[in-house]
Amino acid sequence: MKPVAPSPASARLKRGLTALVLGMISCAARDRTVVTSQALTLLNSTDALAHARALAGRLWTACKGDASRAAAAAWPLVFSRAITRAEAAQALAFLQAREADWTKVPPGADAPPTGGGEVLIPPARGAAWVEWCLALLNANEFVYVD
Amino acid sequence: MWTETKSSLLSRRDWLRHAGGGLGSLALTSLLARAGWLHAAEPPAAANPLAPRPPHFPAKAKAVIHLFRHGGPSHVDTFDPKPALTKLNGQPPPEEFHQLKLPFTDVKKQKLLGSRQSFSRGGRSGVEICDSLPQLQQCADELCVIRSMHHAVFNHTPAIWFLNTGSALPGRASLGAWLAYGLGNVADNLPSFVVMHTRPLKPGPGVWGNGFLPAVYQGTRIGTGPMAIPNLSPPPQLRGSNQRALLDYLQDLNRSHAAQRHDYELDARIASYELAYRRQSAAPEAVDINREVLRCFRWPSGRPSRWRRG
Repeated sequence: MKPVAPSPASARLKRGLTALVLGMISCAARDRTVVTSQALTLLNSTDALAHARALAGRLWTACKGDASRAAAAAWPLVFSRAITRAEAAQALAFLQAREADWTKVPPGADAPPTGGGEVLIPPARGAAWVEWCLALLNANEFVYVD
Repeated sequence: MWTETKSSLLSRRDWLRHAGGGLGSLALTSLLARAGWLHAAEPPAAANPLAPRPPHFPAKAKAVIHLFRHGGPSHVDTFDPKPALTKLNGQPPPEEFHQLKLPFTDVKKQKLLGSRQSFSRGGRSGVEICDSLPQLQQCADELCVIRSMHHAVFNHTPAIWFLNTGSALPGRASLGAWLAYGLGNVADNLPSFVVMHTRPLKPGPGVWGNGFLPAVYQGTRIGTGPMAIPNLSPPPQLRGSNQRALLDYLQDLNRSHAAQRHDYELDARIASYELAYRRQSAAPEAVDINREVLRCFRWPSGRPSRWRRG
């Protein structure tokens, strides 16, 4: 079937109408919906864990294992801003509580912060640091561009 | 219109819509509503796009199982006998079909292939079913066979699109996505639309996709075994301890971040983490067939005893 060439006027009208209707209802916008599988991937995938371990290792090395210095260093790295006092206190509390938990129930497999050099990191503390970095990399402030 | 928080700035798209199409879209919306188009399917609330919504008519079914059998036996060989085709087996198509334009095919040069199956009527309804399915013939009255559907899609891939989304071209929402959109989800911790397949389908995962609907309505693929849903449980390094603690910390970060902004998407993401957490505990149980009770395998009416398991 050969398409019939529309007259310039009707083509213009058709284009105009299409643009009008599309512009108002459903221009092909990029899909921005959040789905659960995204959350599961960022929380539980081995890839996400590898990134969290790398970040934890980087902070551990840079701050020589000092948690409050690591928190102060993490915020500019991850969120491009300074940490607030409340956030620092929250981070330290989280790290302490998690280390205590991991001491009671050791991690199922060892996955210390990577790139930590020769320094031996106690498994419970290492797991807490990795978990903390995983939380930072899952935070909306990191995932979304303002 | 302009405020200090960056995230509440209008996007270019929003600005164009508000500035250019504001009045027009209002008029259109009201026209569509009057015509009953918008009334039928109110867009789901931003808060929970999966909140259950009542159907327009009382529901007769609680669940739908749609088996799409890629490469399965044809309708001509199973439920849809074609006596004329059988008669013309091995002959070229009658002249009236020669004008038919099919891709990659010259109709005149083809030969017709009739079914080699014989058919018998089963049950009180007298539905014709091929004799290779004698047990199904006994259940004829439990079946509803639709023979009135036809289409003009000749090739495999467009046909798969057509059957699953209603359009031979990619980009439409699948039937399951429409159901999730229209009815929501009655299960809090489980997806309403799940997909199982042995091998990936030719056209790709879009076959159970959301098309132009929000992504939350797409099918969730589940496999078999302990990792039926990918990334459902933490990696072994972080397993065995209280993941709730991590989530609580994360949600604290997210809530104070969201408090400074007005963005439904951030709320949706916070909610999606909660759903992900609940799903972690509910989903493994749902896909574990070993915990299935035996009576589920019995035919509801208890009639054909050979349907029973074991």
